[in-house]
Amino acid sequence: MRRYVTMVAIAIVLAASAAMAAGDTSAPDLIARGKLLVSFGGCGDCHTPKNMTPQGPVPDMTRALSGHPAGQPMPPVDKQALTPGYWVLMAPDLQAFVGPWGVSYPANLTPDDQTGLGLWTEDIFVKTVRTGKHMGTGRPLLPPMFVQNLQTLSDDDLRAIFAYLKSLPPIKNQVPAPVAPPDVK
Amino acid sequence: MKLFVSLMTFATLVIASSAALAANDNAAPDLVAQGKALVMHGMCHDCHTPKTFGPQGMGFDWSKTLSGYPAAQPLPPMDKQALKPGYWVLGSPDLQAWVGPWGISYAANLTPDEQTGIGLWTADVFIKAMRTGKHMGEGRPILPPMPWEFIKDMSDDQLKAVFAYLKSLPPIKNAVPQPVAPADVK
Repeated sequence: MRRYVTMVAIAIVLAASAAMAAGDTSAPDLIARGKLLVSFGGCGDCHTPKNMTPQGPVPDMTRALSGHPAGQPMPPVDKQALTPGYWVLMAPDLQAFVGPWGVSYPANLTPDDQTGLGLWTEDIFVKTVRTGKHMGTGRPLLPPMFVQNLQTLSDDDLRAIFAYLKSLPPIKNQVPAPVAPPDVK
Repeated sequence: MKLFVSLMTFATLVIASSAALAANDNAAPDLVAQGKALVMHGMCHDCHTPKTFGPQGMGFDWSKTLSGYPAAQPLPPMDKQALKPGYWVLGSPDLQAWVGPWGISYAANLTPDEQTGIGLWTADVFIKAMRTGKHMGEGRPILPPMPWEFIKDMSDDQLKAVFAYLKSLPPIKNAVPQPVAPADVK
């Protein structure tokens, strides 16, 4: 009997080790891993609103990853930026960019149903990264979102990122749609 | 008893190898591979690798991986409004030079060329630079848009992996221009 108990104990340890080796982590671990990947990947550089301080723009973590704030005024656009070879314009808070592709805004990555990722599934998120297209089938993701950087991540890592994004407090913020070059005012 | 011993041995081996896996206890090639993945995911190439321009838009010029702003490349004509806080920050089309209230900053050469890159840096200098936000860990501040604040939370092991990867690159001689203070922008 004692030997049986020992064997069961060992079997449990083996199973746990195998699960660890396969990256089969529990939900809290998955979220923690996603948080680390999002932090190191610098997603907040663009996707988190900033507060302007004497030390420069500081991420406003109460609005973490909620994208370009709707209705926020922008400096006047210098249309030279639409010409290839000229400077690319970046808003001081890194939340709007102007280049030959037009005007692009960082998306709301919080799980709000209407304005964020609330209705996205893990598959849509992974497909978006793999194809570089909005929701995996729509318009191309625009510069400066370099999807190549994310494409080297494994599906497990992308799932961890998605689990973390889904764990955020949902923030209702309707980011403006991108503006095509002829429509830039 | 024999069964117990062999099971224990097996379990110990599995546990030991899992622990090694968890601790990222890598041999050098793995360290370089881990660093390569971190550099890609950390978006270091966005600014530090020169670009190609073609029908597909902008791509990375992998023949010049991480060699920084090309020394002889001219900048587009300067719009000095960018030196004022609140105006747009200017990025060069290849995202390798930036103009803002801090002046002009250029993406550094991260290849191990001794004169123009990080050839003479040690892992300690590299880690100190990333943790303090100062050039070589004690010089001038590392300038925007270099997001060292996000990198400083990486573990020493991760930063060592990044450094091992950078050191494994072919050295490219490219003397990136010095940053320009706002008063000196022409």
